[in-house]
Amino acid sequence: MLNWLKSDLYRLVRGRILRWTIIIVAAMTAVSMFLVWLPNMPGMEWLNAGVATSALTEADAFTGVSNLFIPLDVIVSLVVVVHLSEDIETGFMRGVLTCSRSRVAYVWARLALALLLSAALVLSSALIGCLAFLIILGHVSLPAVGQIFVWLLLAWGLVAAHALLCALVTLLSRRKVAGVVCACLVSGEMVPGICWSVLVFAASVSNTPALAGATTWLPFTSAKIIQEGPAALFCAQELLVGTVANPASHIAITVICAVALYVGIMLALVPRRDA
Amino acid sequence: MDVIETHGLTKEYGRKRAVDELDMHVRTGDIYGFVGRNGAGKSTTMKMVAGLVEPTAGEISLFGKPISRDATPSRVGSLIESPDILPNMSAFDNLMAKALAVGVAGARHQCEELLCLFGLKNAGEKRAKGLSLGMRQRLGVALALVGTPDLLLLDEPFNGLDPEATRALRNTLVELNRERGVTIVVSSHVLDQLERMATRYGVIRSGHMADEFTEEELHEACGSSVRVRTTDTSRALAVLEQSLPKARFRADPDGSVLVSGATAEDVSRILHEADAQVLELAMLERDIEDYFVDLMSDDGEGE
Repeated sequence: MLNWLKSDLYRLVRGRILRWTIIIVAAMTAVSMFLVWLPNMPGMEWLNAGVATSALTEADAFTGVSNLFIPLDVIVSLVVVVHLSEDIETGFMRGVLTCSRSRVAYVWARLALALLLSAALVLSSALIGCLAFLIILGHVSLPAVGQIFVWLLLAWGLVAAHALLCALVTLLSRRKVAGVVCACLVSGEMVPGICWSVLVFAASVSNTPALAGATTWLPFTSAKIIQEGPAALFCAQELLVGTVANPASHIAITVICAVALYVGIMLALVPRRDA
Repeated sequence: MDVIETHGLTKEYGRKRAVDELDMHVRTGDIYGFVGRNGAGKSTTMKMVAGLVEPTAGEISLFGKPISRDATPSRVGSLIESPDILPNMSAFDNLMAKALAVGVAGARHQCEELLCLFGLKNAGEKRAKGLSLGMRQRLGVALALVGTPDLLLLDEPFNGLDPEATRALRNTLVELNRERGVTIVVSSHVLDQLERMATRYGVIRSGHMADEFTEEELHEACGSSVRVRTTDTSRALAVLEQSLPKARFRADPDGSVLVSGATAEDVSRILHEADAQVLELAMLERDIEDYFVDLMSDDGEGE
């Protein structure tokens, strides 16, 4: 598995995918930070209209980073999909498997790659965000260190979970387009958003508390809370149906279950497929 | 020792049987020419031997040991269907990426050595998608050699190569076989190229091994034969069969008899002694391509 991972990192660095991804993430983060700061600029106060004053005064570097959660999620998933498609389409996987044979090691290496990439890009985004704020304002206001740490951890888990789902779709379908569609629709929260809305509607109409409770355990709910920023993880969140009393642990459980499910399916099905 | 040995190897895709109870034997040091029509099952067989496709039935032994999917790293390199090239990376980076994935010790040194061996030193930093077809094919073989395998499986390695590149690749393969002792299995439609390098052949027909033979046996089977036409074919055939018990005979529709395993002098003398009136007597050299085509064709029974 470690050999695969070494090779993956070599390919990402030498193949320029990682370099371009970091450039895109940096540009996105900088733009997001600018948009967060913009209402504070002299003459741009009109942008404050309709926004609670407290929201702006409390705006910190992580407001901009949190706003980027979904685009970041999509980018990580796309990088994983492109990398795995390259494995399959070019025959690289075939060539290595002839020598190393172990398909299980290959699957574990893909899991490790998704986790590493997610960690690297979530962390990069946060660091670039802080740096951009520092450059714009001359100082950085940050939430408590504990809040930042938990937010980074949970954001990482959720991004990795989506990347794993896209990896699973790519490896099983053997088609880049399937992985890309999954990355755009699932990591981009379009399909989960629609599913969530349908379930919320069904729960409201049928007045079923169990169904309402189930909607809070969807990864989509976790993504919505993560987007609210580090502070939102430590206070109860009122949703359309139901309340999430302890968002941090709630999201942690959702992420662990999702990752376990995807890893289980991947290990059960992918090694059995002919290369 | 057999480097590859398969017994009753079978692969089914739905109802289609791509490989049908194939028995294959490749010995240490062979350059094994694997010949068959398109769709005969060559690539599927190679994929099964490479561990990329799970057989429906049958056994495969590599270096005397049965193979399994999650076995320890194997000593096999392959180029099956197309070179496993990452287009956006240089030739050197392609080799390095594979060497790291395989876990080669001294990866950088081995990659540089392979670039030199295949004449790709100058193209080392050029992106692979910009390489010519011949260079890509050579890079594909170089990639197959990462990890210093003892067995090389090459599926149509001469595809798309010009005569010069074909000769260079062929010479490199022969050199690898002779100097490094690498056993090579080559499937190819270019019989002319196979004939120049193979020491042993396997002919696959509709997923089944039609015949396996050595280079010597091939030349013996394709050796000269005598074509004779007389006024009384059946009598001439009877006389020759009686006088030449070790020779092989084939009566053709035009009334001539093809005699293999006998000289023209012997045939002429025997017919003269039997007072048979000879209308035509000619020496024939059998074309190797014809021989393979006969073996590969579905209605051919081989020799």
